[in-house]
Amino acid sequence: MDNGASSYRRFLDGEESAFDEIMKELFYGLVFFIDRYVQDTQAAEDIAIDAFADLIVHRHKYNFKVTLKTYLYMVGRSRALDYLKRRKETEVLSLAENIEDAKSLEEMVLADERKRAINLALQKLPEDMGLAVHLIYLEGMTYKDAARIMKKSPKQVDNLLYRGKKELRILLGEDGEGFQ
Amino acid sequence: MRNLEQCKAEVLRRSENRIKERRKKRRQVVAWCVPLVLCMTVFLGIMLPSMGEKAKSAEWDYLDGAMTENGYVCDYQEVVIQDSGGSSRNVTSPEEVAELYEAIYALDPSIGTGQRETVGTVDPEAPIYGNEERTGRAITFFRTDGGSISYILEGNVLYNLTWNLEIPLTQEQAAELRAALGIEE
Repeated sequence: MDNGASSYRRFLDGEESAFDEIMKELFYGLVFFIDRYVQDTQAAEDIAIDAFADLIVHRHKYNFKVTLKTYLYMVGRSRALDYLKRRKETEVLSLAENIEDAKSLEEMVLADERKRAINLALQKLPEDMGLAVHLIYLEGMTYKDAARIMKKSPKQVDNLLYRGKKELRILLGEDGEGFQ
Repeated sequence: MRNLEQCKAEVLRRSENRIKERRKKRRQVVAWCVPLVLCMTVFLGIMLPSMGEKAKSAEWDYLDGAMTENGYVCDYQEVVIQDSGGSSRNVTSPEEVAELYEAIYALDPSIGTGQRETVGTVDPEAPIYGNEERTGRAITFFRTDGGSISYILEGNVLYNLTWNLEIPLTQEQAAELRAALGIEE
């Protein structure tokens, strides 16, 4: 499992269908991740579409030094922050009209009931802490990749994760006892 | 929320649009650059030769004689050859003046090398024999505009008095110069 890098290589070699594989593997995860920032599923979807369009337009921007998933999440984060900045500037806040969308997205990305419970509890954690737990527990990323996406050092991610776990144990109560 | 197929179609549509946009921008840049480069080429084609002419004419003034592809153009009209005793000989024939200048030109490294910039100027009105130590023949070239350049040939050394240069000559060169000047030892 190389998180899409080999599929992207095949896509660059001219195999158009490889892009479908990338989309299938990474698209909704990316939307779900971006949604954590923008709290608007439609906007998150829009941003994710832009990030994927970037992969086609700027074909050689991705240099295979990190996994394609990490790269896409980095692009997604940066675009999400830009979006938040614009939204703040224009003060047009489209508050969660799309709760249904968010719900179905969560079901699509998190098949495991336990992960959904964690995701729900993550909403109550500070942003960075929640993000660290999201990337490492829900997305299964390495500390290094999570640190790259969050633009922090692996040590900082480790600290956030430690504190996040502590908070989650309290929030999840008995269910959180086994949370490692 | 859109399904994956719709999202994929949207990704493709946006990427196509962006690629088209990029191509359009590139074409616009080319459309601007080509005439710009042409204009610059024409402008430089007009400007550079005239600048070259200016520089060349400035150099000619500076060198007291204009060089051509085959040698030089002498713009001196008279040469006065004077010995330390006071007797002098005036040369006014253009051919002879040119010949004398050519003989000097071949020996004086300051002509045409820009070396003159590094030496001080000398008052052209100052007497040629101001320095009593010099007892050789004085050769002065006079230009049509009144300018002049003075030399003293003393033994095997040619002094450029205008630019305070000492030009050591070989026995042969000194003999050739004497012959050209019509001086007997």
